[in-house]
Amino acid sequence: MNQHVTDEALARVLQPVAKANGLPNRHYTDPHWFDLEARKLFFEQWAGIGFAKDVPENGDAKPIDFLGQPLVMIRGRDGTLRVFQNICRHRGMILIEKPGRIRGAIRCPYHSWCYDLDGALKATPHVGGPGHNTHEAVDRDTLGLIEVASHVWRDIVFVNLSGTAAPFEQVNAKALERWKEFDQPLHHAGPGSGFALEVASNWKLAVENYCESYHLPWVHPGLNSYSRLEDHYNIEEPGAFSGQGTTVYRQLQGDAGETFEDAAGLGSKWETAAEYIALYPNVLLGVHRDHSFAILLEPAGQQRTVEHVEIYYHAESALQSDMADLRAKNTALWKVVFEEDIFVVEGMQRGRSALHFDGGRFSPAMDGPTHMFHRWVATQLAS
Amino acid sequence: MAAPSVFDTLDATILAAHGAGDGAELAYAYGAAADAHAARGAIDVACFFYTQAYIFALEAGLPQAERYAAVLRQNGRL
Ligand code: FES
Ligand SMILES: [Fe+2]
Repeated sequence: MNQHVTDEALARVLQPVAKANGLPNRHYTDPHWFDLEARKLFFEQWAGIGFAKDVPENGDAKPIDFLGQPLVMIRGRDGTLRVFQNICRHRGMILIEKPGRIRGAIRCPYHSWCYDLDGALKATPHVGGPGHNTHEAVDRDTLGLIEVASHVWRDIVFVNLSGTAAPFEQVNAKALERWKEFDQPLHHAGPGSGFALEVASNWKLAVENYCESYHLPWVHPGLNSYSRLEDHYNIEEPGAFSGQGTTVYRQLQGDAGETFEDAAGLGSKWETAAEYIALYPNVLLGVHRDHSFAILLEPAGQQRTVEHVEIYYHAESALQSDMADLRAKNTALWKVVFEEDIFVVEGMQRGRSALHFDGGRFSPAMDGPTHMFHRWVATQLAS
Repeated sequence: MAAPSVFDTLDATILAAHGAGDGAELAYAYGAAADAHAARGAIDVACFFYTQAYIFALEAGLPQAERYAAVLRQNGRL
């Protein structure tokens, strides 16, 4: 890192892991930094805002509050998922309040300008006076909904609000390459295959904790009994993602020894491997031979995060009714693991009120992935 | 006191549909009012109602949106 950083705290974060401090308290408690991070770490990046499964049918729409930005994702008549600013081009009224199916057009509840599912402005009632629905000053072709750059990967809907980021596939080329064997349809089993956890913590602490395996023997003793610390390896892709993998993944089995079917055509590595990466800024992903999961971190406030967890199966056979018990068991297992993490992310958040905390220090052997995330944060903020 | 007219009945239907938030019913009720006004040659009032009918039909994805749009277009209103 040759970049000259004038902010001393950020410069310390950018030191090599053996010397670096973590991000200081202000990044977890100071509203000024929260606003700056919203812009630099979310709006100018490819951030996760939702799941494509939440708008399954053409015409489905779901409004989303993305760090105060009103957005709506809509599946068009052509099946394409698009994301728009959820506001009318007339007086800026919020267009869609609740998730639902749009039958014909999106009608603004204020003066009833109507938009097609692809955002085109279709009608402007009484705009030229009562019963006159055109006016030369109102050019419908230039007044469609404002679309936001979006991309769906592994069912996550990513957006680049600023429109300034390089294409998603370019920014995340390394992650796409790393998991290209898993680039096949994902099957979600409905409400029983997802849950949300609300934590009193800044979203970054959830990323920092997710990245590393150092805490496994202490925080997840159950997990560690079959997936021991020494079977884990760090995953570090500077500027893009970091996390951990294990070489001893064992499939979940039902009472009769049944297991979920594997993804098709996986290499032998995946018979026993599983990997977990944090795709910066806010998407935590896991892959195994037979299922995947995604955790979308919704930054609901500087000290409040909603973790939206969704589990996906690689084979359609996992959705059969005779697999319901095993699916429920799988969901319950992951829920225990992610609940076990709550006290540490909340505890670290409370710790960030301590006046003399310096951002902490890292284990060069164990904390590389967490430090890599901090480096990414510091690099974006210093730019 | 005058006997309740067809328009009073339509007004009541329209208000009830607004109250129920029933888009399809709104399109039909406004459309009926528009047709009634058109039948007595009140084209400005009719076009106001056709506009209302058109918008609710468009929102609900009803096929008669095209008929309302066509009348409005004929009258240079769309
Ligand atoms: S604000 Fe939407 S139509 Fe006026
Ligand atoms: Fe954990």
